[in-house]
Amino acid sequence: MVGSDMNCRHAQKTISDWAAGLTDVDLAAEVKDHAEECPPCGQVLARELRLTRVLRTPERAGRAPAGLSARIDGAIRAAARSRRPGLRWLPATAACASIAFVAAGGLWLGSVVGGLQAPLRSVATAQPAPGAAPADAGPAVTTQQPSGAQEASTAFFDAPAKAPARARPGTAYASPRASRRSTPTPTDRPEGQGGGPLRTVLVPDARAPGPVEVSLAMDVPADEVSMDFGAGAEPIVAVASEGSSDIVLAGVTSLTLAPAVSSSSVVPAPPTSREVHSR
Amino acid sequence: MAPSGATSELLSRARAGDPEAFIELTEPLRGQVYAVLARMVGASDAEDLVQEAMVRAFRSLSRFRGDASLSTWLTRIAINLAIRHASRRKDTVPLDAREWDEPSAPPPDVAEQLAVRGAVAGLTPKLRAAVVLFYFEGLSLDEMAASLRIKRGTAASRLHEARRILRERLGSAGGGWWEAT
Repeated sequence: MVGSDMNCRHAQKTISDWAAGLTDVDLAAEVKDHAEECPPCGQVLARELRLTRVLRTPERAGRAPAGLSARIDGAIRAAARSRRPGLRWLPATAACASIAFVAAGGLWLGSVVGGLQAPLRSVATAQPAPGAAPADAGPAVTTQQPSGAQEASTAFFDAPAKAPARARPGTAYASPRASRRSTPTPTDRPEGQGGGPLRTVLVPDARAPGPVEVSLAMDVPADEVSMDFGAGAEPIVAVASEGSSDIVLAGVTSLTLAPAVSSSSVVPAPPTSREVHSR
Repeated sequence: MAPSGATSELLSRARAGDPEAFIELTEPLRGQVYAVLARMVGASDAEDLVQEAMVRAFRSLSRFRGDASLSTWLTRIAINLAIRHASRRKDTVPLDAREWDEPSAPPPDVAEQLAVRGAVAGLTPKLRAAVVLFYFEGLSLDEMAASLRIKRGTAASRLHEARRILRERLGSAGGGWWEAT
């Protein structure tokens, strides 16, 4: 019966699926007839079809900007260059460091791990950073003390053409996203830090559970230093300028900082802080 | 569909770490990946994400089993990045109205389109991804489900939910086009 509640409910459900494109079956003749004779259902049909039509109307999504393709090519080549057999042990090392990190009691709930490692100079014992907060009070970042100060002054990250041979895949390419970030200048470097290259740790939404995005700004004095971010973490960007480096890691679940990084340069983020400056 | 001989060879080389093979293999697909990302997160962020998606795909190509097309696989990576990106931002994506304007083939009612696109931009990332892939990109329900690695029924549910929200927002936003139907 046209206009009855039962028929209308059935008709509108059928109309909705059909108009949404969720069924290949053509609209049954009886439903069409119903929609033609029932104004409310006819209106539903018209609205659903209109919404679908607008959604399906081709629109220009925007052409990829000139230069993007070359940038992607460069990033892929940089990733390929940094695929070195000698670095295959790094994930295992990162895992060990993570375990040590947990054992050290510095685990910060749901946050940050990653790794800064110098493969030729790695130090075994991870330890919480001085002042690391307890698990319920904020993030702790573990550092591995350097076995010796690094003397070289070559920038760690650079454009693909200058990518250091030991950089992990994806770390050695520039991105406008990084350049848009507020990269700390050399003047941000704290006094009396003893040569530790890490200057700033940015932990957006640091208390959110699960992987987070971490930004590290640092003066890295050696081009032989390699990085490992642990399983699951992905470098997004890395740029270098005037001897400083800025790297952004996504999907980070823990952070271990190894040689050439002074633990005093890392501080736990206050619960509400979105930016942690070294001190 | 099994890849052609040339594609298969490129794939093998790319899996072995040959960047040129990977570039040749994926270069024709970048436009589509970029388009999906631009519709998900806006053109500006799409630039970064498409690069990230390609690097990530290159690095994890060994995990590409070939049970879906390379295009679907790349789209899946890109969509996952976009969802994560949008979730991190915890806000709606500011889509530039000009992105939706098509001067050479203007839609019947640009204001109508903008209203709908604006409502789409306000959807949650997962619902937005469903709408982008199904309606904007024209994927079938099965293709969309494969791209998002969800079941067909889940894909349909997301579209239903997305349309319900769109109807609500377009109805409450006024502007006339919805009411004038």
